[in-house]
Amino acid sequence: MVTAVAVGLGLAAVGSTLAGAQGDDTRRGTDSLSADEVAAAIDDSGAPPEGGAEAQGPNGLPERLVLLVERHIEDKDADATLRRADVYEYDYADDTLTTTLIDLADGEVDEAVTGQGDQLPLVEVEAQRALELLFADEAFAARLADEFQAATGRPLGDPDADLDVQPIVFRADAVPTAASSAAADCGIARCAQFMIQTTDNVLINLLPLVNLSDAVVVSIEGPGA
Amino acid sequence: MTGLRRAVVAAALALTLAAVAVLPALATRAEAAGPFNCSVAFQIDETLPGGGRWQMCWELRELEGVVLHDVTYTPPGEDPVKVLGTMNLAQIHVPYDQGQPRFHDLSDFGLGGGSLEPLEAAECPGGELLTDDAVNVLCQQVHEAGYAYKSYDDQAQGSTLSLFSVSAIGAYNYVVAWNFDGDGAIRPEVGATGKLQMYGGNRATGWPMGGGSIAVAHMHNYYWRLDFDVDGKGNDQVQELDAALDATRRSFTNTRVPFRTETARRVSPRSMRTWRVRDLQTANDDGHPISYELLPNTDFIFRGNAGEAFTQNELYATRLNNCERFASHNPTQNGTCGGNLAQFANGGSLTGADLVVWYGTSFHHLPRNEDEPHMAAHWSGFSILPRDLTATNPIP
Repeated sequence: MVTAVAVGLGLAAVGSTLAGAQGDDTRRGTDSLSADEVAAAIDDSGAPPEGGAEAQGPNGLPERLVLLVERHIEDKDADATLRRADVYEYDYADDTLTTTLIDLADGEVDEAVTGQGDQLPLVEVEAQRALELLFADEAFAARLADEFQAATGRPLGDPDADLDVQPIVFRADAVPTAASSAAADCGIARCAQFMIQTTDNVLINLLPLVNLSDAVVVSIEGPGA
Repeated sequence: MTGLRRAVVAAALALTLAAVAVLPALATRAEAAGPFNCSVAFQIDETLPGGGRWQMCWELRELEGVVLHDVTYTPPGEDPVKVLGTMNLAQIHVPYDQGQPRFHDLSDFGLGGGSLEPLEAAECPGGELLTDDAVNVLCQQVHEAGYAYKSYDDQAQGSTLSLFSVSAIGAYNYVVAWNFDGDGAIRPEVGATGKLQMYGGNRATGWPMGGGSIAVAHMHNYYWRLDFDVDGKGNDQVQELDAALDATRRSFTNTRVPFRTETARRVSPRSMRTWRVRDLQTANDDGHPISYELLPNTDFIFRGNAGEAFTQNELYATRLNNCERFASHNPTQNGTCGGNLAQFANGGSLTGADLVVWYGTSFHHLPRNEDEPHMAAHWSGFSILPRDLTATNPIP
């Protein structure tokens, strides 16, 4: 299937074998989280490990999914040795995001907040699922073939070879007309929009939307201007 | 023709990456000392030729990209002064002239993580690449900056500490740059380059390009979060400076109005409007309160629809709240935090508070034929200048 480019959560190093923080490499204060700290935070949060055998939901995605881990922003007078991480975990069962604050020194959970309506960048498995849903849609495939022909003067062959498609998280509040469209749920539900171009850099003038929570294509043209 | 285009692109890139000649040697990285709340690998400590020292920590975050912490300036021969607790980009809002799409790049895609473009040595000539987990994140360079001043036979050459990282979002590459001058000025800027993202529509919403295509025009609305801590947090006050032309249209009245509560304000080129953050306790050797002044960039102004309340003003002064991070699409944490700038500036008292200033500036990109196949970087930025930080010009 088509390549998803550079989705969020560049946490490829999670669980990696990078040398642990030690000696002069010990991270402190405002230092970026190390790969080891990210992995430890996920582990301590109780979230499923990336790539683990987590239960698949009816939408074809892991029901619980870590979207982001970042260094917790501490008060300015906090001790430089305090290292904490926020682990953002999405639950597709009820479209909620839980932010768990982990103290990296002892692995304790300092706080956990669950809510709806915050949509962080898509992670790789979501980007791939969004592409899968989009390219399985017959109406989209037909429009795409037409647009590709119009833009390039040649017929669309293998989408893998002919197209670069970039899924990006979508919230209905970003486009006024979306509120009255089939995309209105996007923001509470988790949705993807797509930028589509040919591999020789011709842009395809379609802005489809996929609702990942419901596993449906909600729009081919986009929510409208 | 192709060769010419390539030459133009190469020249533009060269300009992008090395605005002026790069000085041959960088100062040696200092050991942990001074204002650093970070380990040595994340410290920046540069004493510029001709004087002026800049110290800070840097951090790479998934969404904000590079964040600078504890930005501290030492005028030549004087004591260090903390300027900012934190400084970072806080949103790139990209609405297209056709009405859609309307991207919130920083919060919805992120400038760090997989978006960060690892830098090559060739992209940082004469400079030093700063790494995180073996990825080249930042280029640190020192540039010659021409005259610091010129007065008949007296002259001094200025220099600038330049930091930049690159984030790729869609077809765009954003060069996120921070310039720190020897005289204490800070000039944040973003260069938009890469390739055009979107074609279609008509001349009303775009520009005719090669092969009969139309490239869609669009905005880049950049927002910065500036956590000023002038000589430390607290005791700071934001003032709005205006110059009102009187009825005769011959003379001005200059005013300085402090903000007592959280405030959202618009640029006003007609009244020469700027803002400054002054310390209420610390004065320079002349007894004048030290301050840093924000000079806006009014090349373009964007005020969007009702759902884009954060675009209705260019400057926001708020109390520091660690959950308020992005100009729009800010995580609301189950309703415990505001979702955008318009909700952050909700009347809270600024008296005695730790202050955050948010500033936005815009670029309307009406594509040019020269934008194909590669766009030359278009820079959008603004200045933060010392005002009365020292009693005289800090450059001897």
